[in-house]
Amino acid sequence: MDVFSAMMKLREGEKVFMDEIQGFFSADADALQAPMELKIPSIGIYTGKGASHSWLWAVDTFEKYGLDLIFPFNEEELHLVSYFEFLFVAGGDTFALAEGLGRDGAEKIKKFVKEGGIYLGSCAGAYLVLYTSKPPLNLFNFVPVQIANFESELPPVRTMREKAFNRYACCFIIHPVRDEVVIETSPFPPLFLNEKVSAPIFGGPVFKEPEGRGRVLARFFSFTDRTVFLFDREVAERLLPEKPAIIEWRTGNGAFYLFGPHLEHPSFRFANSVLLKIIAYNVGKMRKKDSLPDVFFKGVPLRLPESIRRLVSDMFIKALSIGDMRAFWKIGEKYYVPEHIPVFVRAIHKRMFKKRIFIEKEEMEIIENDLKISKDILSRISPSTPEEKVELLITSLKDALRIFLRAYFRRVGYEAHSLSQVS
Amino acid sequence: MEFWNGKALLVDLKEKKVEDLEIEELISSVKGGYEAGVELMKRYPDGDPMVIGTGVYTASFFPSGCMGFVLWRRNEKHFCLPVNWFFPVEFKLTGFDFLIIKNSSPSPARLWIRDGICDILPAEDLMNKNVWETMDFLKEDHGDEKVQALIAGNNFLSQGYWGGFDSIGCGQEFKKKNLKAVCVRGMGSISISEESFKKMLKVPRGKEVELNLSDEAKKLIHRRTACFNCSLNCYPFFMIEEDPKILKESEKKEPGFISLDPVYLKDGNLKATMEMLKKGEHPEGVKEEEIPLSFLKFVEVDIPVVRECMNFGVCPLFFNKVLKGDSSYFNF
Repeated sequence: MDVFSAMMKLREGEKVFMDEIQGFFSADADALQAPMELKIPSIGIYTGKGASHSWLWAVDTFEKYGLDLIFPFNEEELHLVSYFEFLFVAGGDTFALAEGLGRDGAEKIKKFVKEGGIYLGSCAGAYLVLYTSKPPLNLFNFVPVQIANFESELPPVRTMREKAFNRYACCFIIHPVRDEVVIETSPFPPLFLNEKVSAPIFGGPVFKEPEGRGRVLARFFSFTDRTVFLFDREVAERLLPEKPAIIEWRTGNGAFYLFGPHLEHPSFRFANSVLLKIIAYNVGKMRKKDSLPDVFFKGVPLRLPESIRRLVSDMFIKALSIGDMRAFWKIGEKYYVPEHIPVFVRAIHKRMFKKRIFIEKEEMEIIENDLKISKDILSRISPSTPEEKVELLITSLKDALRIFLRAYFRRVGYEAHSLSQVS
Repeated sequence: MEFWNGKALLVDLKEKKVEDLEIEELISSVKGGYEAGVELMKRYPDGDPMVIGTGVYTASFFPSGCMGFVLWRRNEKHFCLPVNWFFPVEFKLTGFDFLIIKNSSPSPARLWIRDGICDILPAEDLMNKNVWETMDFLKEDHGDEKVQALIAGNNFLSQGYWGGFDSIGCGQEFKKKNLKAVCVRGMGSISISEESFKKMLKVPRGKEVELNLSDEAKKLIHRRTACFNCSLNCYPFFMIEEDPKILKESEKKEPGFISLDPVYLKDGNLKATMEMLKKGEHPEGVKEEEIPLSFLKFVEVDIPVVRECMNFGVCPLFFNKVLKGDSSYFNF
């Protein structure tokens, strides 16, 4: 059985095992040399300051493969980090991520991994925990690995100048390619197989060789017809092939897994399989928590009220219609374009028809208020809309989504709540 | 429930009430959409009901599967206006198969339906607007080019900018209800099994049809278009204000028009036709025909065949010209 079938069986409540030595999956523990029992892990996903829309790719992918014990949280809820077994920090603006998480976030992440948690960092979430001297990023000096896509002189940019590089001190972090690349995985745990996998990259790091506790789990291999070269192809040829694309850094009882490409992107099934194997292997190895934290069991079962569904529907219609508007807004170090907006709205729209979610009255009020703010801005959006307004739109949408999605992914509560609590 | 949402929407314009009805049992007990619509007229007889409905394969992959209809009674007589193209598809994808409209609104109103939600909105500002201006307003107000609408004109019900076959006074019935427009945006989906999908792919496609137009009108055709997944491309777009041979985005606001009903074009005065379309007027006025004669002429079949096609949500012209009247294609 492959990792997808294993996840399907887990979702259906069946027992599934992974062989710690050979990486095989089976429903029969006796068929494996060193079976580790799998379960659906709890995954905290950071959605706060600095996180762009790519955390929603992770939500979609985890949900698709049955890893639906998901809890989105922001910088004001860092106390929740210790509740999770995995922590996912996706793409966005690395500096804003560091500012958002701050010293408290850095300490919480450090403690989380030391005590056995698994940090999954994609793109900006990977840059965040690499060594640097620049504050506030230096609060997150957890993985002593350098990046290879760092140049003292900027090569001539061929296309998409706004996405091609970031200034860093006197130098430049450059992003030689975008869209699809091919990576080659390593034949040892947790991936167990030497295979070539296509994966999307949107500004993520190209690592230098890790030393000490670091291991390379995959290397950049080649480009495809869908690779977009932002500089001359020679720059990409010099910087990517054979360089580490995925690294593992074990520390304390846990580990950091850092990805240059977005393994969580829902359109790249085989990239997803790499991510799922990393999760499965670590689920098998980690000491199981006895019970899930209360945060997964709050709320009363309700259908999302029509007032909220109305707001979402009207916003989704509008968001789809601006998809081809020619505009961009720079928020922090990150460029947003109109086509990012429907990604946020779609994430709630496609889930709002669920017959019941476990939600609290206060949560519904927060969702409705945030959506009203978003709708007000979205209904008047144009290429000349000020960046502060667009930032407020995105922040409000993210806040509404964060609250909605945690309700959406909750389990049946063990506490008896009465409907009067929310009426 | 394959092909259906299993839901109808009951709107009482007088009481400003909106209610979802579960109709899976009803749908299971009839042949298709037309029969279900007639049954809904019987079940909800009060308040001068009007039913807007879809057929089995409306919004499916069945070629020309974009047929719907409007049913109402006037002087104890039943009327049925076939409605095709975007509106029925968009309506079905809102999550409803049928819309029942009761009573009259105390003030001008319009309906806005999407995602299983219906709002009764004021329409005072629209009463002095013509059909095209109303459509412009609805697109602007709902922020999307893809919204579809049935709009009451002077004596006529128009599907967006494109007119329709209403020579039997459906637009007047809307006016009686003080209802300016029903506007829809469908973002949902209907369930289709893989087996049905594969069978649909095997339904034959036809070839281009000859349009019954004057030579002068033919010269003004800029392009022709077809219904969903159909190859008959029977709708011509006439370029009135620009050279129809130029293939580029027009810079004029109203360069021409599409007409769903060829009866408009019989006198060849396309400029006058465009003005009538904008006003929402039918050149033949309002007749007492159960189904518009112009539609029957267009599709070249008789009333029972039209009813059968409306049961299944398939265009009678496609059924006639391509399927050669073989209803076994409807059996999945």
